[in-house]
Amino acid sequence: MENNIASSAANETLKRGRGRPSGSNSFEHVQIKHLLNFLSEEASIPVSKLWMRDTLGVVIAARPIQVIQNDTTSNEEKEEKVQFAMNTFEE
Amino acid sequence: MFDSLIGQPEIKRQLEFYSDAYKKTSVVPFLLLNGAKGLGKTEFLKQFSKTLTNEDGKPRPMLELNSSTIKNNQMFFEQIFMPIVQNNEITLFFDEAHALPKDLVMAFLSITNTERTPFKEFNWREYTFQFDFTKISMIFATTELDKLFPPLKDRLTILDFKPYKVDEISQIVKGRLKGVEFEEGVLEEIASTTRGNARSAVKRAKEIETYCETHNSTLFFKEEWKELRQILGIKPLGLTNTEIQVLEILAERGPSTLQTIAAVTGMSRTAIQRDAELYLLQRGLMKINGTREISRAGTLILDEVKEKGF
Repeated sequence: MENNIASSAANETLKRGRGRPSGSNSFEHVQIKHLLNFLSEEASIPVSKLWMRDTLGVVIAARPIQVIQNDTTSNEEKEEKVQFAMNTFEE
Repeated sequence: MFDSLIGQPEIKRQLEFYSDAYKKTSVVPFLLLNGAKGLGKTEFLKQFSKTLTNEDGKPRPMLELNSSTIKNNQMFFEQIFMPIVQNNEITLFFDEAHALPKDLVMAFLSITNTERTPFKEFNWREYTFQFDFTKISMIFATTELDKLFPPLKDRLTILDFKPYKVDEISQIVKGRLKGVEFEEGVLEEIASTTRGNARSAVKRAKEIETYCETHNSTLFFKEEWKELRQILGIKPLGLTNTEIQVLEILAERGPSTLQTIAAVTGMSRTAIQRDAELYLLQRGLMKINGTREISRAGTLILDEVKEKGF
């Protein structure tokens, strides 16, 4: 019984340390004039899709997923060559 | 026709017969050259192919194929038949034919079924291939006849190559070293170390040539031969270290099982049988009577190796 409680408590302790705590995020607010000191007008900067949707009202359509087949076997087969030597007997 | 080649008189007669027949019929039977490595199968075939003249009077070219690199029908028809063979007059030589893939063996079973006419059509996928055997000769060679698919073997005319005799090997060595003078008996001693193998004889001649060049001499006497043997570690009868090791085990332990020899040498049973026992048995250096035993000749050879130190 005591063991079970101890185990459950340990799990709870572990769970508390997992994942992103509520309310925290990876972004910071920066004024654009400060950013322009580092970037040219042509610079491409990543912005979140949520920010685009909520701030600009722009929704980007999802790109279809490209499935690349692991086709190494057929590549190996394609590379296989028959070894041969031609004897023409021409002096 | 085979003046430049030494030995294999039976093969020479057979190939001369087929060459003469070709002049009348324009067809060569499906030949299978059988024999160990280094017996001259390819060399004899090259000479033979030169005697087959095409419509333009030129010798028929010979395409030498390594059968083990053909993995399937597709590789043969797409890489070989369509670009090189089709509409040409050519000899196809399938070396190590026992390694041909199964589907191509099946195709050849059908293609070589030409009892009535020298023409055969073969359908593969959407293609139909024409085999005109007045223009295409198909010749096979193998070192492992037992591994060839029996029905295909039955379709082929088998020519058996034999090990070379000591005097033939001597001629091969001498023929390669025209400017070198040998002491009486030396050529025979050299020949005894080549295991009846023409390729080994050519290799040995090359070694003697190198020795003579480095010593700036055209004389090759017993003393020179002894020195060369010491340098290169050439054993009596051309024995290998593995064969010597097997003889030593039998001499030290007395009659032994194959399992014991395998355990002592660390080799597999098959490898011992194939790589050591075969030649030792051929030369009467060991015998098998339930267990393996060294023979009197084997003991003498082992004494010679110990005495000379090589």
